[in-house]
Amino acid sequence: MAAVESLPPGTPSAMRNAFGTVLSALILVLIGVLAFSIRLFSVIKYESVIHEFDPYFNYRVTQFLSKNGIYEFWNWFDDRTWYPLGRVIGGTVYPGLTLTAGTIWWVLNSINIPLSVETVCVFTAPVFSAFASWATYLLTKEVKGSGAGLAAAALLAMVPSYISRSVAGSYDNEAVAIFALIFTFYLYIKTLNTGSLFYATLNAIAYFYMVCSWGGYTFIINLIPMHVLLCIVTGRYSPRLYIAYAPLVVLGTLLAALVPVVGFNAVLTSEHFASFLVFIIIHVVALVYYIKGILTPKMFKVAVTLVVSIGLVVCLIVVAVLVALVASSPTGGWSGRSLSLLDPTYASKYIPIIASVSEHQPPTWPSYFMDINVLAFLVPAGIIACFSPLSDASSFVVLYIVMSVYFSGVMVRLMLVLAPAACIMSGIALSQAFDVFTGSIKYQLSSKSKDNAEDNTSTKNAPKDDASSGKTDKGEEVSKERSSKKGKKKEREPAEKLSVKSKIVKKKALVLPLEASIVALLLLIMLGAFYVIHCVWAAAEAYSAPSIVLTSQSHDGLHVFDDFRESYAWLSHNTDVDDKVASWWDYGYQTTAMANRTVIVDNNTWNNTHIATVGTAMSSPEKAAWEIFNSLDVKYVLVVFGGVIGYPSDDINKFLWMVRIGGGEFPHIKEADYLRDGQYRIDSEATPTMLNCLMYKLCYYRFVETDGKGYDRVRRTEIGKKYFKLTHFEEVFTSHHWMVRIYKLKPQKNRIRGRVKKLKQKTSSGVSSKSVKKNPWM
Amino acid sequence: MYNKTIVCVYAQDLLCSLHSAYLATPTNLKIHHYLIFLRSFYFLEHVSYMALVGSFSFNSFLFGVLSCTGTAFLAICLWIQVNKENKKFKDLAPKRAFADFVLSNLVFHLVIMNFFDRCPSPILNVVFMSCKNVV
Repeated sequence: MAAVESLPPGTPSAMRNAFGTVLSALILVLIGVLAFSIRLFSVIKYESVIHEFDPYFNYRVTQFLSKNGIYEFWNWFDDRTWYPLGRVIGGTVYPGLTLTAGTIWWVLNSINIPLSVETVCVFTAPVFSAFASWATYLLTKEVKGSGAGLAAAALLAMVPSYISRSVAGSYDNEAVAIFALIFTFYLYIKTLNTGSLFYATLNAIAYFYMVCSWGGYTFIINLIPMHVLLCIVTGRYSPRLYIAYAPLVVLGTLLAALVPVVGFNAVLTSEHFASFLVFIIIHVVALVYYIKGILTPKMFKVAVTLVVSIGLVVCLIVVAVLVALVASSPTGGWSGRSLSLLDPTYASKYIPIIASVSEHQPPTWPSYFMDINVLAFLVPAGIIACFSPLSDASSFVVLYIVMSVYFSGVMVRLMLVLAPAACIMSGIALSQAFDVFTGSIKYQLSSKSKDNAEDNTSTKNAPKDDASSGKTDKGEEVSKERSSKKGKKKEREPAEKLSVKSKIVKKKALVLPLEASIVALLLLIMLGAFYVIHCVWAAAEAYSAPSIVLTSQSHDGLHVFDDFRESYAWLSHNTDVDDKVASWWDYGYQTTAMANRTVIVDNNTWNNTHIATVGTAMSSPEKAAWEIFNSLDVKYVLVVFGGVIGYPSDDINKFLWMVRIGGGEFPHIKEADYLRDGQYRIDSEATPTMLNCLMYKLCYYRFVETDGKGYDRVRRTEIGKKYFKLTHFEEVFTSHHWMVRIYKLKPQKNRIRGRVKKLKQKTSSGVSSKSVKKNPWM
Repeated sequence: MYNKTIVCVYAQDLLCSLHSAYLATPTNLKIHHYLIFLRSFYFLEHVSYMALVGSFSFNSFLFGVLSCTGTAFLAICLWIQVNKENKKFKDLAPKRAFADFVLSNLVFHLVIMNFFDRCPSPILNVVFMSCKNVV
């Protein structure tokens, strides 16, 4: 690019370069439009609604922010969730997403475009995915050139794994965080390439935005030190590396400590230690290079021996202190989720809640093909292409993809971090492949057309084989032809700029035959076509379901199941504002956001004991459950039941986690009591504990009235206990397809008849002397 | 005994050569070296104070430590960019390097102000608190 810029404007190659720039700008705009529009399937198929569970919480927070302003937001203590504990929202939420959407809403409203908060929330993700593809273009351009950049940006706009978390309506942290991630990496590579402190400052600010947005920022703060270490170890230390790394660590740690969620964790937890360690190492290396520069080699050796002997002793002391500090905390300073990344079996042994989230399970092999499709084949080619000139930037991208492949293998949720890396690599591979093929085609075509001309010029050129003018003329001519055909791609075969004659000898190794290159080009284009078809299918069919509205195709048309919103609306209209609703933690966010009622536990799952309390209540018999719920001031209990329509993610299928989590805290709940032959069953073979527990009763109360036999479509059996009455709860609402059922706690009886009371006293005293483990709730 | 004397001699030689090489650096760079040395000294002092007295106000500890390291490293960056012997930075004008330095220092101090929560003199305390509220 430098040689081209020095040409005076108006010459043909300068014109062609200008044309190339305009063309690539136009292509980038189209890529942005593509990224935005491929995510709109759910808006077209269903409606502009917020999906899933977590986005409802973010939506509620954004509503609060837009109503009350930013100071109230920082100091907000939410008392409508985790009753009676409450939750400090200002200090436990990653504010990036809500602040971004709030700012967009405020800006739009102040220029008199009256979009509602919901619309802004729904469309934030597609807009930021367009920005993310532009950031990918910038990043790959720094690594390999603008051709690879355009290819990578086009791939990222459509990759299904990113679409899954950023459809219109999926208003979650990753929508903004992936853009921040790629942009931070771009600024880091830019600083590495230019060595400018200005970009280093911008890098730190972009890192701050990333810390605000997502807990995955620890990936950045561990990947960049790893890369610096790699560069030092492979002998690529340079002052630019120092400028790229040191400001990021200091400014970045400071900025990270400013975000309330992170706070002092930025300097205290093990997730950040790698950055400090490498910070010290890079200072040592810088000092060593400096001293090496001002000393003679002999003196340097003396210095080395002296320093090493003293330094080893000091190092050992420091390491011993550190190890003692770290070992004093039970997890070695790591948080639960990070530890489960390093040791995948950790969560299932110690923290069942982390193990129960389906997003935290390892992915299956087909999910790789589903999520990154064709890119899985192109990534190895891209890795090889990165090695052909190995620069700092390309070594960074290789390290990025290796690390992200490992982490995506541990948790399916982290496939999202793999997607940009895979797109960058595939973009590089595709661009290189296209270069080689089109170069071969052009050379073959030009050599065929110049076969006659060559016979004349070769005799002239032979005596001046070393003359530069002939060579450069031919070289420029060929390069101009190439740039005319593919103005937007950058040239990368310097060997082909020599004279034609010497080219023939050299290029026999680099040039492919004409037919092979044409066929290969066509095959590559077909590969791209398959990728596009798959991505559009995945976006339309697989990832656009809002999961709050369900649809199914049957012989008599499309059925829409809107039971969730129906029941939340019922709750908000038919209960008091201060009534407490108990349900399993999955539905907490939706209940507070849509029904506007106080809940006991929600998706934040920060308090395991509280969740275990609710789980115990759901697994206990009616009276014990009533006692538990009464102690929590609960008025209504909500269960989700899919037996009538065959909805598989209902509470009976989640029941095993209720038992496990409850049993983890309250030992009188034993999982073996609910299992028959190692399985949870609800038919006639079920254990009596199972048939008497609250969850069974609340789900299957009056179920026989639907079809007369009580056939559960999800479990595919008839239920065990069909006719029973509820003594402590009364049913107040069942939705249209029986998906959501709401029960009210019956108030305690004023008067207990005398005889029953005496019997109860006798039995309770008799039971307590026999049982070893007393139920703490009775 | 023999080895020890040789090591001492070597050490003396080393120090002499370091000293002479150091004298050869131009004066403007020596200013940077002095500033960096000062900052490292204050950093060590702050850390030892915390080790002795305990980290009661972790905020102010962080403020002290990180302001020292921050300004130190930024000075190092400027030094790298201004050093004439550094071949890779020949095309970077010294004024641009200084402007970058000023900008990054500005951002850095904006950030570090937020950690400041107490100051010995009450007058200065008021001044800093008002600055912090503005930020």
